[in-house]
Amino acid sequence: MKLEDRLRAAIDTHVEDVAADEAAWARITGQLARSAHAPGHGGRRRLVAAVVAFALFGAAAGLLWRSFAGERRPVADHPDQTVIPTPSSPLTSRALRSVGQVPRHSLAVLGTSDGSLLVASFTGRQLLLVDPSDARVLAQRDLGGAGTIGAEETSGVLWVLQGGDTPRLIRLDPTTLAITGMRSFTSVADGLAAGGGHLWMGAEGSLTELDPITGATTRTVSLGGNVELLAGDPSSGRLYVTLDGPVRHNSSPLLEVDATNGAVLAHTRAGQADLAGVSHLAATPDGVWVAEATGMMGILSFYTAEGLHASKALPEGRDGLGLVYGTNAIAGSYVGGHLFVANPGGDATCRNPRTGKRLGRVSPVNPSTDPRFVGVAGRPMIVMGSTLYVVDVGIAC
Amino acid sequence: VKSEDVHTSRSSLRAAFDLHYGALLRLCLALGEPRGDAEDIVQEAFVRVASSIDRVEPAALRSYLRRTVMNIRHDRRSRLAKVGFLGGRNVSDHVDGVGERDAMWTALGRLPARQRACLVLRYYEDLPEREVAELLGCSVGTVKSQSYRGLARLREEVER
Repeated sequence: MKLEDRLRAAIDTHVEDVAADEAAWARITGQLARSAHAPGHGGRRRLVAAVVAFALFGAAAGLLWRSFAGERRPVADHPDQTVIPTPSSPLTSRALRSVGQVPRHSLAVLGTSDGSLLVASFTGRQLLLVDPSDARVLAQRDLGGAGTIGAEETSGVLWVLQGGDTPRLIRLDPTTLAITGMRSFTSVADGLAAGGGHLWMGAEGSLTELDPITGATTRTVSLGGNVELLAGDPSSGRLYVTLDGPVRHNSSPLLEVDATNGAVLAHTRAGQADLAGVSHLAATPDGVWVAEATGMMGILSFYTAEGLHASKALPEGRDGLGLVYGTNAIAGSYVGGHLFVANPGGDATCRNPRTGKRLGRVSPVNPSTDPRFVGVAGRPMIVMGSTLYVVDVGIAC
Repeated sequence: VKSEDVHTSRSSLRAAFDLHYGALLRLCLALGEPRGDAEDIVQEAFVRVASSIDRVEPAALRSYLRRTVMNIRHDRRSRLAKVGFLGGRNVSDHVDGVGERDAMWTALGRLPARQRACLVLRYYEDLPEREVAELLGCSVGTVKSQSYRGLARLREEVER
């Protein structure tokens, strides 16, 4: 092997297993919201004013501090970051069993109706169908395009949404990944969700209902803002949507939508819009778990179906109260009747999906691997880095 | 500014983040930055390009972001060098623990920063010499010579 190839291999082996994670995105959007670099919210004048105000405030605070506190104490770098060592081998946990290897840093994972696992590669251009018992590749398809941003299965048809300037909706056979249809859109598409047998796509200023067999547009519902996040619960037929505006009282709109007819059933506000807003939605039969990145910590809150009422406080110390604290961003996934929470601080827990009460610990997780829970034939699995694990619910929950 | 513009920019930034964040972070780590610093650099790059992202051709975006990352890294290193902190953050210190398991990685960490950057950009990022020269602010000849010396030192170290 040539020296250059050995060098590449050495770097590949030793550079940490990293991916685009929601915590990093939350920090970027939080910083954008606070700065004049924000797309569409910029303005040199505001930047200058902010800098001057910050400098004056800093000077005044510094003088006061020196007057009253004397010597400054050293401040730890990045107090909001928890450093978790990257494991070099698959994690071991009583609740986890390693199944095999899948493409690392997948953009999307989905359990299909015939019990296989769909994995989109890191670039999102390649799809793999794998056997969840041994991670054997059953089918593979190179889609090209801008990368997969969503995947759903309805009525025996697999739908994949690709983002980019001209989003594409691709229809595939869920057992062979053969492409059976495709349509393009001229405007931005954000998210794909299924609920009650209906298929919906987030679009600019609206939700678009698509025929679950043909992909043709059957209904468009104007929402008064662009869709940022979209999640659906198949059993209840509810969709949950966050919009990018209008922002009032420092929070973003959260809507509950009837997937059968597009009617908006309830709306409230969630997330702190001047920071990162809502970063993740997990729909359950009883409501939706909303992850918010606050800049310093992530909060997961529950809003009930039929009204989007914020859940009441539950006495379980700091880890209860209907909230789950973590470092910056946090994500919840509803799989097989349980809520799984992967905390970028390095912990994954199994929780009651109605109350948020902690039922057990799944494992320490490696946050840099962007852990993703997915249900395959009702069985929870987790993809971390390039390793696929099956979760033993009897131990974890 | 129209809300559609804001949305398009945000969507473009998110798409760019999904596609390029991991690769840029790996580049910074390969260049010897500690994990926390690498994250700061790459995240700052995305913040900096946010306002202009819709004016960049998608095919050129990776290159644009890479250039931004290298500039931010260069600025940070300059600032640290001025206040004398860079000496304590030698890349070889950072990689020693990992390097015990791989002589090549250890040897890479022991190279001078410029040689290491040349090798990483040339052979890990697969960039042509001209682009490496532009990113590092040196001539193509310097890239050639630094790469040659870097490879020679790696060979010496791993075959010792």
